[in-house]
Amino acid sequence: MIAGALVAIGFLGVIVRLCTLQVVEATELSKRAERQHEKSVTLEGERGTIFDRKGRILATNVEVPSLYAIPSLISNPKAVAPELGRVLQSDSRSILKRLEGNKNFVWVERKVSPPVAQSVVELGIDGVGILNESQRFYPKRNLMGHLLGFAGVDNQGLEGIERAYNKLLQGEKGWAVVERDAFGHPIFQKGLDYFAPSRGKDIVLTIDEVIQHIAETELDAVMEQTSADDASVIVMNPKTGEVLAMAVRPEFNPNRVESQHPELWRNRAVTDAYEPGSTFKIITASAALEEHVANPDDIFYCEEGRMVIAGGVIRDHEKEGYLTFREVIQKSSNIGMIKIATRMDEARLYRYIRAFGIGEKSGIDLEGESPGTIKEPRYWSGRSMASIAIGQEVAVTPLQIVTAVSSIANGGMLMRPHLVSEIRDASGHVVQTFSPEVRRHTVSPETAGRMMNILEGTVSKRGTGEKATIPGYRVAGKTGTAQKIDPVTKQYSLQDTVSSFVGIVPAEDPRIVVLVVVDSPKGLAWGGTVAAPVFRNVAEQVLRYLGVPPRSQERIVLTSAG
Amino acid sequence: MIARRFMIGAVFIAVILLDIWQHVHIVTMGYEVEQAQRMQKEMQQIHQQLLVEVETLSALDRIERIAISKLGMVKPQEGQVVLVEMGSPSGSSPDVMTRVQVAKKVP
Repeated sequence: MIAGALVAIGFLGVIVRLCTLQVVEATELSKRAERQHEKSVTLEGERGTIFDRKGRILATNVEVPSLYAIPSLISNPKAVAPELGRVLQSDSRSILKRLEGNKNFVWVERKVSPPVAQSVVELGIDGVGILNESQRFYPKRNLMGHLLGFAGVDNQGLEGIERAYNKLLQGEKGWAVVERDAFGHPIFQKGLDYFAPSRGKDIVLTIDEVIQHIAETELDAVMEQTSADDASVIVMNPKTGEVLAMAVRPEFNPNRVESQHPELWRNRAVTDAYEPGSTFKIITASAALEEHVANPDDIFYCEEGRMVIAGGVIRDHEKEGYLTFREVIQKSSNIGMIKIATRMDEARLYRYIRAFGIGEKSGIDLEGESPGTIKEPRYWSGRSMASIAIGQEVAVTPLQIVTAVSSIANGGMLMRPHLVSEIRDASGHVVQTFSPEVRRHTVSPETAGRMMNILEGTVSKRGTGEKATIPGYRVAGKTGTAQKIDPVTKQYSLQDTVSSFVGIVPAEDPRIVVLVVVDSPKGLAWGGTVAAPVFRNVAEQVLRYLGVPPRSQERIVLTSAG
Repeated sequence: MIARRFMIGAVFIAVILLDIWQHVHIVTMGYEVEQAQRMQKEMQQIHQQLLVEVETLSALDRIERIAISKLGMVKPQEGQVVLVEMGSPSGSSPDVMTRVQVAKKVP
């Protein structure tokens, strides 16, 4: 009887418990079971690839191991942290802090090298594991490092193209709910709880790897020869504003960002403004021609190389007497140029300087661009007109000069310089193309043509740019040697200069405009001796690469027999 | 009557067994899908690694270094480059000609 009652009570207990589990706590328990069996996983959208104009890969992704820890599974963090610190060569106190925190999951070290990850695995620590993550990799190392920029540890673009086009390059994150077995292994994705990650867009640059390589090789050579502080070369297609190469030294390898000073990350060709000196005379001379205040054959007295203006002395590097306008440019006479400029009033000169894009951002698809500096005429001193006419009291970026000179090469159109030609989706379909964009007209095609003719004279035996001559090609160009301001004396330094050369070739049908800027070269530092030879070496190889035939070259014509 | 009950029981058990079999099959297939996905990912990774390797090895500074130091190649000198124009027999205009540049052998 008693036994029967006990069994009945027992059954009753079981039934009550069953009801509690199945009815009262059913919702909560089924949720808990789902939490144990299901796991929500974030799926990273892969970052898009960056190609050069011929489809060569410049930036892509590689899988690298990252080390994580589940602190609740680590019984003795104080013993584990120093071991990990030793293998990873990082601060064990910081690791310990993370291991002792109350998080379920912590990163110990992200994106380590495979051998280091292997060493950690060999330690056999429970609760420490490896997850593969995608990391940006630049297979061409230093090549155009400044231009490409780099992406951070979470694959967000931080500099250069990577930053400017981050939104397009970055994929969209997805997520999935995965069912796990008793061991925690994923079984399969549950139908509805899945949001596919999308891969970022691919970007095709206007840059040509070969032209970039040529520019960088020649820059390395001039840096070695002259021990200059820094240097840059820009190669542009003047008809479209496409940048074919943008090389900067000192070099920067985006694969090793941490070990390089942030000073090296900067793309100086776009972010740094300098006093251009004589290359700026192209703008002054074009303005004078367009305004019809002077003709190429007008004669100017160059004061035997010395003239006093507003209490200051202006000198030429050679004592010249009477020179034509054409010769003033060829010999780069400061005094002659000032006399030409003063035939215009300040407002007119200023208007042309602004029309050539000085004092405004060029609109290139990069962040951090400098607009340069040009004061409004109401702030000009008595000497400003003379200084600005010869490229002093004005600051420009290399990109602004190459764009302004391109407008002379293309008949007077100021183009928007650009670096990206196409954007493609993950399956390779083109989703956007970038066409050439005219910002404004600077001068008439006639003025541009006359200017080209004058600039051809600079690259001749009579001109300052003799070392820029390329056998078989007509070259137009201008040298520049700008003294830098001594930070101590606040005066123009006699030693520190910026040597530059900007050239257009072939002059009869310009294919490329090349600007070379060498900052603080040691020894003989004239633009004609330092920068012009770099121009010649770059342009000669690029023309050959582009298949632009020289006029005097030996030819063989093959015709098929049929 | 007994036979009928037996039949119902057998069908009931069969249904349960079928359900269990289905579930086991789904789980097994799930593992297979997971494994296939893992393999696909591995293959994609290998493919990507090889692509990266190709791009790294074809870096122009490396090729130039090998060409100069190992193969003893030099850049063509002035006058050494010959322009070869391939025109049609009817003598087409230079605009539609294919131009190729070749370096003359130095004696």
